[in-house]
Amino acid sequence: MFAMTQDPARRGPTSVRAGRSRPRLLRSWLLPGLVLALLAIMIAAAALGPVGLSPTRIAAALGLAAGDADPAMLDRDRLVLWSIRLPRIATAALVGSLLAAGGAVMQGLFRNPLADPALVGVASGGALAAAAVIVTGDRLLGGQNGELPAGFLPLAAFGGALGATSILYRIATRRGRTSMAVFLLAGLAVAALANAGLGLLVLLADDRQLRDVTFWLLGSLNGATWWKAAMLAPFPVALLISLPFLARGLDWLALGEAEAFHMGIDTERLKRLCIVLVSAMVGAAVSLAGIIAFLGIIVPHLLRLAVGPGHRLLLPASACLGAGLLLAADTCARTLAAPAEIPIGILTSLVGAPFFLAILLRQRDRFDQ
Amino acid sequence: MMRTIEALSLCVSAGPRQLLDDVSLSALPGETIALVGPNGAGKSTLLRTLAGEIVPSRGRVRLKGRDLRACRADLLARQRAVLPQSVATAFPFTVREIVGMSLDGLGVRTAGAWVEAALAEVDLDGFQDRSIDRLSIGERQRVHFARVLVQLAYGESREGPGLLLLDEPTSSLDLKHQLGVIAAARRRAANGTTVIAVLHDFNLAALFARRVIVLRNGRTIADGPPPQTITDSVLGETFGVFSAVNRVPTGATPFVLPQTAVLTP
Repeated sequence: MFAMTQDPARRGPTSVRAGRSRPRLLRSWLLPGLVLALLAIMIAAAALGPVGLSPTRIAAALGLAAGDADPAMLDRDRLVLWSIRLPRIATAALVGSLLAAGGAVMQGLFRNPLADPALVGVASGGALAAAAVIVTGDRLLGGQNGELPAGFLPLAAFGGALGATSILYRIATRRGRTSMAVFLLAGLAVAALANAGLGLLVLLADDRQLRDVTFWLLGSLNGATWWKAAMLAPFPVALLISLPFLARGLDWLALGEAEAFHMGIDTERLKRLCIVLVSAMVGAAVSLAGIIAFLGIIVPHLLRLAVGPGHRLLLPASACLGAGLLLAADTCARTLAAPAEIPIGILTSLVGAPFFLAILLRQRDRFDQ
Repeated sequence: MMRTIEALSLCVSAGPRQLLDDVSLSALPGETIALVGPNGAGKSTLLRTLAGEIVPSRGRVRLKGRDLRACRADLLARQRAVLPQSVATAFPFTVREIVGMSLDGLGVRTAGAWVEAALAEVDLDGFQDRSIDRLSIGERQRVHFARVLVQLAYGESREGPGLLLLDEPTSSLDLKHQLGVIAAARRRAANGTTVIAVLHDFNLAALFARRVIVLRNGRTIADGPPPQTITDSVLGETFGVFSAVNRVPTGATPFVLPQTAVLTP
């Protein structure tokens, strides 16, 4: 009876205003498009650098095409590609995907589109723990040449990020509701605390350690190796495996914790998974590339504008777009001022901060509470 | 007949405050129950305890014979649906996405049919692609009511008649849509669903429910059909409002008229 009483005059203007319908074409082609774009950026990144490589020389060096070049040049091309450019491309893409997807998961967990792991202290927590290992590690582990056991640094960064995320979650969330203001302020305090700790460590550090610690503060993909890239590879896989549970849970969580439970998800399990996942992803990225801000907030934001906030598409798309953007940024960072290299953290902040301000400007109403 | 829900001497406390003090409630399939009482009486707490969201410090809740604590969240979600007082959505989902959210995993076409039916029922046909944050508060409330109806319908298609819990479902609605929500809830009850709703409007409560439970300070003050629970003595005792209850001359259904009310006996 209720449906029958609908006023037919109302449907006209409503369906006209409903122009915000999500473009279905965009939704179905987004992921393939992003993967193709990522591949194109990868080829460009492989080609650009002090030694310029044309696509045919890349193909020859990779063994994909029979090259007619002389063997000496082929050997040199192979060396440049396999030991310098490709590991760096893999690392940049993986770090970018972890930061962007980590940001999307964190925004879902905190129900806050402004949550960026690097802005609210999660990355700083990771960097603090990693720097503490660099500075005190020599003495504690007795290593004479300053070589830490492999994997130790990422583990420490994960611990630091986990600590920061847990503190934030406990402070900002009460009875299943997260206050945006408390969250951002608490994030500022956590980041300030971690940065103060970093400052103290800088005072304690000797010259070599100082160089290593400075690396965290600025962020850089210099010195990427296959081994480092391989350490990051499990995380996107973990994200993909947990995607069905995670996407459904984060969609439901957007309505509130109680509502997510009403719709049928174990919210405690979901939150634990999210906290561990964000910390692991951001910690791993920080341990290899230092603090790179804004990627985690801009990428999911752009994608939400384009295809909506549903996490089933948002999470994998964030990973792809994040990979492409960071790879492009890194390629700029190492070629724009060659032979010098701009620290990528500086570059992303230079571009990201104004962009972030523009988001705030456009959506002030939404964030007002 | 097996009771849909059975709550035995529930106690819930928050710090020193006793929110629920020895409240029992059981309901049969098809029963319509209105929870009324002053602000802070424990109505929402009772509803959330029945939903499994709050674990009582004493007492137990059985849903279709199974202890709530032993129920996994996903199985629970097929037996009961809950409409909270208000929902703040963190991201700008569309109406279609929100209403169909609990059908995650179902094919688009199947889910679409459920969503369309629910939207038509809450008079939001044509709003499918609107963003939730562009709607008025009353429209949002109806969107979430539609979402809850979809979850209930899907659960009942698999598990049989379930439980529908509504926390002030009409609080932001205009008269037409208040009546629409009550009618929709009553249609569910006619099909065997047990519906329990927190309502502040006694007239809507009397229209909706065959049974009214009056709560005050976490205790049950009265429990019975509207003519026995919506009375001057009960309203005077629980709300401090007197002489407000009137009766339709021909029937026994009481109605509350603010114009005749006084605040002292």
